[in-house]
Amino acid sequence: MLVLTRKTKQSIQIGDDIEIQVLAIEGDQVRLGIEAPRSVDIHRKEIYLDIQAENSAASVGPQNLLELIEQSKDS
Amino acid sequence: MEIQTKYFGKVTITEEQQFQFPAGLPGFVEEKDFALVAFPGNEAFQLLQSMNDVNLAFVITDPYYYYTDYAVDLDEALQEAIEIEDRKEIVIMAIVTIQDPFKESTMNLQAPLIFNVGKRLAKQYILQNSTYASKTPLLQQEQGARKRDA
Repeated sequence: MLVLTRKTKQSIQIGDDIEIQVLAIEGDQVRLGIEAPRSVDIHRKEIYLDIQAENSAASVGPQNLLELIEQSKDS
Repeated sequence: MEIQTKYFGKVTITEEQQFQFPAGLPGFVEEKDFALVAFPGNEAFQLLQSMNDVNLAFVITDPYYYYTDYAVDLDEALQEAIEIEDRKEIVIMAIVTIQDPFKESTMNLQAPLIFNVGKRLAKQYILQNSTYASKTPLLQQEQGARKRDA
């Protein structure tokens, strides 16, 4: 992993069109501003991982999935 | 055309049932071609079946059926990604995680599926600052479960 030290208002440029700027530092929280093309999806990592995990769980489903769905009509 | 499905064997689908996810789905970024298949005898759910991998399929549902006040703000990046020009062409669905027993099943309201029915493009859209959970109970309290009928 590349490690860089930055101060408030300083930026990191990634490629031609992505800029990450340190907007503010308060205690253990860092506020970042990100400029990137709209085609680049940006997410908080833990949220992205959660969605990945949930998709994975949803794609498996229990063995008797069809039966459970069929029974759900009666509930 | 005919496709193999995870749960229903071979089914015949029309072009209107085929959707491209240009970015795939989180966890399945290589999977870009899916078909929407009806659940036989059950209008509450549909199957989002991968056209390349018979073993990859998601049960999806209309979130508004369960949460009538569910609201999603579609940003410009999404509108560009799936070429939304007319809001009437958008259909919003949620992926369901079926559990045994069924009443513990959840749906992902934090990352709904946005379909552009006109262009047949779709994307799983992760809401940035939302209070909706990725594990939202499908059935709320017993009496609240079918709000729309009330």
